[in-house]
Amino acid sequence: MTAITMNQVNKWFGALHVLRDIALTVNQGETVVVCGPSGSGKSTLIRTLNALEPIDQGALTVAGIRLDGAEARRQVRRRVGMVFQSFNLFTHLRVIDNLTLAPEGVLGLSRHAAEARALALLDRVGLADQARKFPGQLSGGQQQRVAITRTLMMEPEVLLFDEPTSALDPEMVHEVLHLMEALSREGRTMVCVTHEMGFARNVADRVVFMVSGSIVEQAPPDRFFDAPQSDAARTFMAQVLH
Amino acid sequence: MTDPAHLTAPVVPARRPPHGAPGPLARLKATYFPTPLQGLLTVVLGALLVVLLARLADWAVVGAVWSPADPAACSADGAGACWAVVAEKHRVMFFGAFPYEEHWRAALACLLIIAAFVVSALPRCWSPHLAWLWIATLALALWLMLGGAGLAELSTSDWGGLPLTLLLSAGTVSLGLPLALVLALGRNSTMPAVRLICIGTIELFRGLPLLAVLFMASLILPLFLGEGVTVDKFVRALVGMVLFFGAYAAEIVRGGLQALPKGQYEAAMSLGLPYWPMMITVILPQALRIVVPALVNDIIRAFKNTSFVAVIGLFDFLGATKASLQDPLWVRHTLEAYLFIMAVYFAFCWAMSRYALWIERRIDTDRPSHAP
Amino acid sequence: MRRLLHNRRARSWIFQGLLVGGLLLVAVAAVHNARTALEARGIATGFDFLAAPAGFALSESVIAYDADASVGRAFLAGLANTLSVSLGAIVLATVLGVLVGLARLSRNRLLSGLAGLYVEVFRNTPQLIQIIFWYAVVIALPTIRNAVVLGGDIYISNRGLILPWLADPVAGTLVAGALSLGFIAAVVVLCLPGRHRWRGRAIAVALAVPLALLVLSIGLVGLSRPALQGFNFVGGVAVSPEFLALFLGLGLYIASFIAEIVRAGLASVDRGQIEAAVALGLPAGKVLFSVRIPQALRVIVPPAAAQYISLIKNSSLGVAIGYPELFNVSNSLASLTGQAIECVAIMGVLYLLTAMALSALANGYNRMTVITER
Repeated sequence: MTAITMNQVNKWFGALHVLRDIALTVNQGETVVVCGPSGSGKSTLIRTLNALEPIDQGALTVAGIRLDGAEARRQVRRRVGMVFQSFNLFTHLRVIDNLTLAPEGVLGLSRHAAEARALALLDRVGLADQARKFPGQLSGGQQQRVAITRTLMMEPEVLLFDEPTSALDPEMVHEVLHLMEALSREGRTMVCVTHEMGFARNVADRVVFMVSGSIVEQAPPDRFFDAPQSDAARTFMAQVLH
Repeated sequence: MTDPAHLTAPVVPARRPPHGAPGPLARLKATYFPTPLQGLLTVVLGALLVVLLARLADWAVVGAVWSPADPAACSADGAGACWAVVAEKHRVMFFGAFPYEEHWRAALACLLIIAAFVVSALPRCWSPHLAWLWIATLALALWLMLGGAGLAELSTSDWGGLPLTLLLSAGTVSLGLPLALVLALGRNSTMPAVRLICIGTIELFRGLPLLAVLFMASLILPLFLGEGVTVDKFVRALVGMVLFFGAYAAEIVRGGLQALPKGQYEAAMSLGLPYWPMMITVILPQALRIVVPALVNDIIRAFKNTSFVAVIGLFDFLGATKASLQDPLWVRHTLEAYLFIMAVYFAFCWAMSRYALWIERRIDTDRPSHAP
Repeated sequence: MRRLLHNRRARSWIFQGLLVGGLLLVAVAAVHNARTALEARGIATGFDFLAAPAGFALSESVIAYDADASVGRAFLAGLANTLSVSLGAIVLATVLGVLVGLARLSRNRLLSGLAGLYVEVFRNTPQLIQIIFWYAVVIALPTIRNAVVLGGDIYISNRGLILPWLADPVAGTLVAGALSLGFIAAVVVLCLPGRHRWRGRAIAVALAVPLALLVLSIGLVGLSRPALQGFNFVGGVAVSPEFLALFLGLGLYIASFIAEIVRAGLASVDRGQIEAAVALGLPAGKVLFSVRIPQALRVIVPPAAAQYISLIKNSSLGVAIGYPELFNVSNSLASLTGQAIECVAIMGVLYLLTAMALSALANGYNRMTVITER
């Protein structure tokens, strides 16, 4: 079963060609890491997958729904969870309300059921005692774990991660990656844009390497890291791995 | 190299977007008819606007009476706006009771004050030397308005209309800003007595209506000064305006002092600068720069608020207009006169508010950008 | 002595002593001057005059007042008039300001342009001229015999607005009070920070209870409809031209500032917050009401409160068109009794207390929202 199919997807920002003939398939249960130099279009690619960015050409199917209109957008967004670089927790709401807002408002869960689910998930990520706090009172790592939990509340079929650790202090990167790894081991379908090459090598099923809006290599992590084919990939790895 | 799981592809060359740049028609559609509902809104609003504009043009232009020769024409059936009242009364509206043959002096004083405001607005002219410009401008304007040294002598009770409004504004700002500086620095002082006095002054005048402050200045101040001491009506109004403006501007300046990074104070102190040199050379120039847009908005408000003195019996632009409309021939056509002076006030305030926006953007780009 | 002058702390205390001493001296001289001046004119001092009969009538008053009432009651009547016209104008400024602020953000260029025009025109002309202008407009309306029908039994003429209202004046005042309180409560609940599931219900109750009270009162005491008899209307309730002009002048002017505050507040919400809400699949309405508006309110409430305080203070401009509000009443009392200092002091304290009460509310709100940020 495929979870995501991208077929000849093209996108422009004004005259800038940011996604060029993208063809990508992600299977259910697969963890794909998208990497590449900055400006290569990785973030744009992942943002098209839940229609935060519309595409100009091509076809896009996510979680069995072809993205071609307002209703499809709505359906896709409730089935796909997105984790942002800057967490984007709702700063005016307590942790528990951040988690229950969408399940109550979109899935129509009762308050009781939503809170029970929230507390269970918070317990799993080790943040049960933080439920009554505001996001501003948590550390960056805790905030990102809450943000991940917020997407899990919707029981998503696909999880998207847009540089989830880039805004974190170094000592907090680990706790977030640890949670992502656990989710991957559960067999969730994940697409991650990240510079964490350790995570890519140990957790990913496949690495997708992008340059100038094009996918230039895709391979299992050991193949990609041990025998990169393109000069761009070799340069990139030299820079990221020192 | 031939592992089937290891796919490679070349970089796809960039292409032009299929839709190209949107044409004027597409832009028109995007801004006025993005969705059917929005399109409907545009049509309904547009139709309303056309009808309103047509009626307005009919009243204000087509059917309007322009010549003051026959006041009765304004009251004729179907007559539109009576601009004749402005044509007839404009001298009184603009100059109040100022002697007719001396109007050139008042007009010149107005131009001088406006010119001083314009010069002060140019960032490249910002320096303490502006104080001299203002002293010279006000001295010249006062000479023109009061006479002496070759000009016929007049008193402040002869003043009226726009010159009074502009003199009052200029006086309010040029005396109010130094007061604001003193109050703001005093409020941040380490000396408890100074701090308390400044806080009390600021909060008192910010908490009271401007009219009450003007009323105090015009009625209570003479009582406190005692018998025999008479203070000019204009000066009393000016005192009230300065205190009110100073209290508000002080809080704006204080905001600027607080917005300045602590490092600036620490760096200045570590250089061994004493308080006043540190304030004058390092802190104030930067703090004031940040708050220029807010201060301009406060100056706009002070300018608009000068009209309040019409209530305590001064013949500023509004007061002179009200007085000129007592004429029984024109008393039924006050609306047009008020619309006209509103338009004049609008021209001044709108220009200043555009300037505030422009300077805000300029100051933002001047500041070093923060790391993301 | 020289050493003392070089000691910074000593210098600071000497300076402060001189400053306080100087101010005291000025104050003593001022009080002495005022005393002699007042004695020379044979004017009493002190606050005994508050109990004396005021001896003048007010053209209108929301609380019971007649010419025999005391000076103290006259002050209260002035304050009540100030608060009633301010409350009405605040409601107008809020509703219109929010609508214009939203319109300015509209994708529709025509709508946003018109909203921008409104803001520029009303912000950039003096408030006093606007009030006098509206008064001139009301006075220029047709006479009462040719009153314009605004729909239903509502008439407008150069004598003001006349509309049907409860037949019983006490019930009328109570219901009007309940309606205003309900509106304020609804706005306060809307602005409360945090997520409260009872918010929607509480707003509905705050609005529905006074409305139910209104309907109930109509049933109980009946509605009095205005009818033209001779040269005047009989029945209904009249809104004077002065109240109407001041209400419009204050409300329309402050609405332009509220509109700018609302626009800037909504624009200040971080894009990421909205994207996160969209990515969770929340529908547009929920994104607006659950995320964007609550976050914008934190930026909107403090400056809006400052505008409301300014509105209340500038209701004193009612004096220019003869509306008997606090400043107008104090002014009349000052010239009637000659006790200008006491009158200004009472008026000042009443304005200060009103402003302080509002800013205390705004500060409390600020404290509530500040906890949520670090």
